[in-house]
Amino acid sequence: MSESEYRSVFISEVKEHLVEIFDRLNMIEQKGAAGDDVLFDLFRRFHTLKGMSNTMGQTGMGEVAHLLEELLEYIRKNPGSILSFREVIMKGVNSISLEIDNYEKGLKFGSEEVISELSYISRAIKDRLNVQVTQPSPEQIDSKKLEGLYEIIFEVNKECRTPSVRAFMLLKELSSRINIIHSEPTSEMLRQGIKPSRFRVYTKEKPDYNIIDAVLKRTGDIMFVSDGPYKAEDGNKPVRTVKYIRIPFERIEELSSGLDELLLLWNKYRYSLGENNLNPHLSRLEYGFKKVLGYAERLRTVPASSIVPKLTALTESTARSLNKNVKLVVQNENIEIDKSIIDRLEEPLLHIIRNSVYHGIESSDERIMSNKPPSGIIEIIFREEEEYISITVRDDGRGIDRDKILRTAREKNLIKDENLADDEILELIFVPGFSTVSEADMTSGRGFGMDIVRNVVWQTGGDISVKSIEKEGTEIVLRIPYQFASKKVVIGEIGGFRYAFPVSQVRCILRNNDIRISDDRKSVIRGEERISLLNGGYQKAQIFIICSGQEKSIAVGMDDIVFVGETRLYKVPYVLKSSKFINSMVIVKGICPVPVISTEFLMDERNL
Amino acid sequence: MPRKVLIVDDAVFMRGLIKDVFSSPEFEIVGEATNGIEGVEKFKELKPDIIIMDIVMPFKSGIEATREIRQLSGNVIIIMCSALGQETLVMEAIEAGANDFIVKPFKKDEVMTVVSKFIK
Repeated sequence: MSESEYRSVFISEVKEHLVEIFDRLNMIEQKGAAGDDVLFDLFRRFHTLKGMSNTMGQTGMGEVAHLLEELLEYIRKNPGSILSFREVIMKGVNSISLEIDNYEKGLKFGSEEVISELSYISRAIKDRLNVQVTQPSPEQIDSKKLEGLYEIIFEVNKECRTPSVRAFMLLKELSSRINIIHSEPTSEMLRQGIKPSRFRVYTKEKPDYNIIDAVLKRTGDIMFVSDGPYKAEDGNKPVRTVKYIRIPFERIEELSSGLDELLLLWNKYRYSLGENNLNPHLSRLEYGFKKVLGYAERLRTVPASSIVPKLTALTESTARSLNKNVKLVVQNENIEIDKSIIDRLEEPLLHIIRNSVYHGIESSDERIMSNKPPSGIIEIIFREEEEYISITVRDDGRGIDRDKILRTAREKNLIKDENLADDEILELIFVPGFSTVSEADMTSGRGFGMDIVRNVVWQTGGDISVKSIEKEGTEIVLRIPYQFASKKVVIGEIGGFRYAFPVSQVRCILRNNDIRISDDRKSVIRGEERISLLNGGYQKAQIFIICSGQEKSIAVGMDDIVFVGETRLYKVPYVLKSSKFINSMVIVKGICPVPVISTEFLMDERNL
Repeated sequence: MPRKVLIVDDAVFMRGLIKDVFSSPEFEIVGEATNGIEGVEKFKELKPDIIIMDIVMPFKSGIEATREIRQLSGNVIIIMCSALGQETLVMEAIEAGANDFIVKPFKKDEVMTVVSKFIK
């Protein structure tokens, strides 16, 4: 249906309901009473009107219908009361009828007066019924009952409109698969309308994470927070003290690089023994060694919360200087991240937050005008995913103004193509030279632009993306590997340029005197084998790197090999992205960034 | 093959909205019903894969209809169409066998997120 069709169906259907409602009300007037079926019919019609008007954005009409629906619910329980309410029901129905007439004519009609009258009645009814309008407080549970049980803590997504139902669903799904002894809140409390933000489930033993994961996927809107044996929070139990010593981080790095070397040696040795040739002593040694590697890895990590105080302080001070109200909410800050990675991410995160406070979050007045709570929220959510840690920075501000981005990009000659897709427009904020001093003043600048933010993220082997909805907010997601991504490469030099080849694709490296070059200089001949030569035109080649693809091999002539080993992997900077031969870069101490050649692509190119 | 969808809602307006949400080659709207009784009948007749079911309807509520349909089929995906303030009813519907729910007013994406949890 098109929008105008919706409009006309909406108008005609509301009118139909109104005719029926007036009919019922007249009948009640004549009889002086109403049967259950009539009351239910009215209740249902108000309910339907509520849903339709809210969907069409006619919230005034929706509110009146909602209050009438509530009133009818009360009357259904107290049928005698219909006569004392018929007048106000009539008023409400009249106001809906006026609203729909005006909507049809494109005019506005305020239902404030009747809404305030109906709200007053609604409150009065609730008082009379002594209905608990406030949330029932959680039942005090006996902590002894929980002793020895296993506790799983979940959190409901803050944006979820129906937390009680989601929690109820999770509880139902979980209890069909694992034995749940207790939950807090209980499903009975959820039924009474308690809206949990966190809730806890208690089981006899540690549950299968696969089950929890499957149930969470099915339920949606709920996240796993933590689990462990239940601990009473009464403070009577002795607190386990942890002793700390200070160690310079470099020493830990020395230890882990030493262990990495050992691992390489071990792997070589293992390989030399061949498959299944490990005697029991060696396998115990290997087991112990892997355990130590695991400990060493944990030495390198710190909880993400270690940078939270700085982020909070920055948010508050920036907000204060701009006279804005902003709250920083951090979720899941206990996850462990490699110390050298979190250190590098500090500046980028500070920059993103500064941008949010500065450009994203509106002033309180502006927020109120656009129907938002006066105080803005910046959320930082740390998540452990399969291969990455993701850090989401989300604000509920005004979102990114696409037109402004395009204007700036054109002014700075960063784009020529006028027809960019929406995500391409947003990507422009990461282009070097996009953010400049004029925009980035003292508060949001520091000579640090989103291009540098992206570079830092790339340097860790991670990635960054942005989503933004105008008037609703912006979300930036950083995906960071658990450790720096690394790659084993061979780096060769030719005519002063260096290129890296992934070791996984290099079959062997041959010297000039190992081979013969065919007369047309199109292939390298070694014994019986002929291998296509990529750069036969280069006469001075001393060394040939033989890369093997799935079906064939290819030789690349080089002056020299300058490095073989493991290095840090970087994503390719924007400027190089147009080259299809290259999809990443590596950095080795003492050598500037070297592009990694995609040998598969080279092979395809030759076939063309 | 497109999944067969049955819409059970007493409001033409809502049925129109839901039809639009499912207007893609992955789905085929096989029928519409305007109340719970008709909903159960149409289910038996059309054997849909997915049912979008309103909660409050004349003659027979969506909860009753869900309970009856769930006894006839364990596989059909039943998604309740609810409004804010109906939490208790939604929980009742889930106990009666509904798989999930959407909340009015809804966006196409939200509906698809819910539906995609059940179809692979």
